Amino acid sequence: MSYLSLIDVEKTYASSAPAVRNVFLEIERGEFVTFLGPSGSGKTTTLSMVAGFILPSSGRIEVGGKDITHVPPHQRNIGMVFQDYSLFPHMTVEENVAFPLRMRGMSKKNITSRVGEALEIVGLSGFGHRLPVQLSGGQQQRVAIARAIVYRPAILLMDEPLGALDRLLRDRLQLEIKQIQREMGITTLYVTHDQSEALTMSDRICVFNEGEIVQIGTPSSIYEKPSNVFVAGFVGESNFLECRVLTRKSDTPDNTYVLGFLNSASVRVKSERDLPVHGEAIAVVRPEHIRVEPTSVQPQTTEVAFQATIRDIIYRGESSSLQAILPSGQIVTARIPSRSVSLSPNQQIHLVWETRDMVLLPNDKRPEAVIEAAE
Amino acid sequence: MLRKSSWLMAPCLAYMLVMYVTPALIMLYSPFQNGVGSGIASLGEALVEPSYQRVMMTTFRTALVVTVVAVLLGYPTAYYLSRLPSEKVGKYMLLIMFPLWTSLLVRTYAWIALLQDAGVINSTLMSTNLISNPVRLLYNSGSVAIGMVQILLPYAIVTMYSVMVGIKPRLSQTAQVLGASPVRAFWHVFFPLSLPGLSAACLLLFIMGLGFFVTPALLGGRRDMMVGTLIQQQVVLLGDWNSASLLSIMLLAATIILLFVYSRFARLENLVPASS
Ligand SMILES: Nc1ncnc2c1ncn2[C@@H]1O[C@H](COP(=O)(O)OP(=O)(O)OP(=O)(O)O)[C@@H](O)[C@H]1O
Ligand SMILES: [Mg+2]
Repeated sequence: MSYLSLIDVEKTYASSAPAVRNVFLEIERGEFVTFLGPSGSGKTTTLSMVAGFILPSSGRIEVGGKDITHVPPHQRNIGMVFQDYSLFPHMTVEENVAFPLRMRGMSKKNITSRVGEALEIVGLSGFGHRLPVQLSGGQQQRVAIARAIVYRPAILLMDEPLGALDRLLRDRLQLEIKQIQREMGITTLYVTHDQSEALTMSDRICVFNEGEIVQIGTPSSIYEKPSNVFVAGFVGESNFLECRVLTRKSDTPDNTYVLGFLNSASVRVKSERDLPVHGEAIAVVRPEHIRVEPTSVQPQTTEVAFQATIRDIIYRGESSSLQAILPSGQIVTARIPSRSVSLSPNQQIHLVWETRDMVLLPNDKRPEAVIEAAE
Repeated sequence: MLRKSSWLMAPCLAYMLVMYVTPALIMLYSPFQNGVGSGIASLGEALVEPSYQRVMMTTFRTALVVTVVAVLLGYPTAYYLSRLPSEKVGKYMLLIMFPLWTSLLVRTYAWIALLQDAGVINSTLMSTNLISNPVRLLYNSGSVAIGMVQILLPYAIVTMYSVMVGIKPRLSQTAQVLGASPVRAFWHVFFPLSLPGLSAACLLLFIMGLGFFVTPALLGGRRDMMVGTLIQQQVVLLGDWNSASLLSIMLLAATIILLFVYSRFARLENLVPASS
């Protein structure tokens, strides 16, 4: 049985469209679940309902089978970390970390030892007597983490905890948070709009868009099997190729489709999805799955090749982004090694990828609009 | 850049130099000249003069009572306003500032109209047969306090609000999720963080209260005379400029001492709402 459940939760702020709706979520004890989504998609609102700051307009929240929807925040035994650290500026580091223990009426002696332990876990043992203003951003966030775990809450909520920190520090704290979480076995809800953070840290990712959960799954299933165009565009980079379903051979577990692309050859693809024959569809290909070959090279039987002209090569450090234009006029991005000196703009090439690396999606929205929304 | 433009303050500084600093210095100097008066010629004598001591005591007591009452009334209001979304605060602030745009004299006479024996309050009470004879509401320390609180309240609210508005609502939420009930979150987090505003309001009101003149003079009785009224009497009725300036020096000294003590504990800038 799941430990934390959100059951048909909805939140509508005064006189506007629902900020969050149809949220069903089952979280296991000890699980690390990330809310990933663009700005304004309802991540903070959902988290605030779990914390108890916001009352859902409808629906229920349960912990361990008990309905806590109407329990005030201070009785929920939940830990929380915010992007702005939210340390009490008039208290020292020690007093900040001791605060939740004092509120629970713990004895002075126990408080001292627990605070010491918590500060050690986050690597701030010598900093107990400093005030928050005397700490760097990363140190402040460590204090906030120590304060949120010192009373061993059942659930830990983190709202973009690393959002204000630089890249290196983020990478380090990601690992540390993950380690603390695993060691304490604490059920964690983590909000971010950084997809790489979500992919590295989570047991499961919940992708939000416009107030709804559009896909829930493990990082690899989210990345490799996006269930719609939005997720494919938001999590990682994707090329969206519009196509038409020419024929379909139904089978289990996969259907076999033949797809027709504008001004290009037709392609045979297997997919679990049910798509109507003669309907529009979108084939998704990740840039890192695309190989660039000379036009003379013929593809294997398990591969597809598209004729294209190189438009631009953009240097990106560890790799380069090659932009090529298809006969249909569509631009496709491929990831290539940075030192591919043999390639240059206006060259004719073949873009080649394995058919099994293609993800077939129904064409419910124009991909350009979705990509813009994701960025 | 900024340094070079400091001459922009020159007109104001020149004005204050001529109109404030010079007269103040003359006033400080004059008591030590011989002149007409009650025979009190030195600060030492003034300090031990029983009638002055009594007036000083009344002045301090009144200022203290008024400060405490106004701050107690103002704190919850300032708290409420500081928790409102900023776009909703404007109209309340307008209401709070409104009395300040009404003449002090008008407001003070309005209290007389309300409180006097044949005033609105007494006649209402008598017509409803709650009392048979008018209650003496005017010309005592109570009426002075009521009048002064009414005038000082906006200053108390604005001063405390300006500090409170800087206390993030997030902090109180955090305290609650960490296990503090809303009441404990207030006392452990909001209240300590609001203390700079509270102490600034206390100091501001106390200093302003010490120097009040119109309200105590019009609403107070003989026994409630405050130092401002006494100074005015020395000058206008007795022509005793010496005593008047000695009393003024005592008032000024009290203010400077208070500011000094305050500056040891808090930042003087807190006294100015715009700075925070
Ligand atoms: N107090 C509020 N009153 C009215 N609308 C609100 C309020 N808080 C949030 N909203 C709206 O609800 C929607 C979801 O907001 P929410 O803060 O949950 O987004 P988010 O996913 O956390 O975004 P971000 O990544 O920018 O933090 C937004 O459209 C927002 O404008
Ligand atoms: Mg948010």
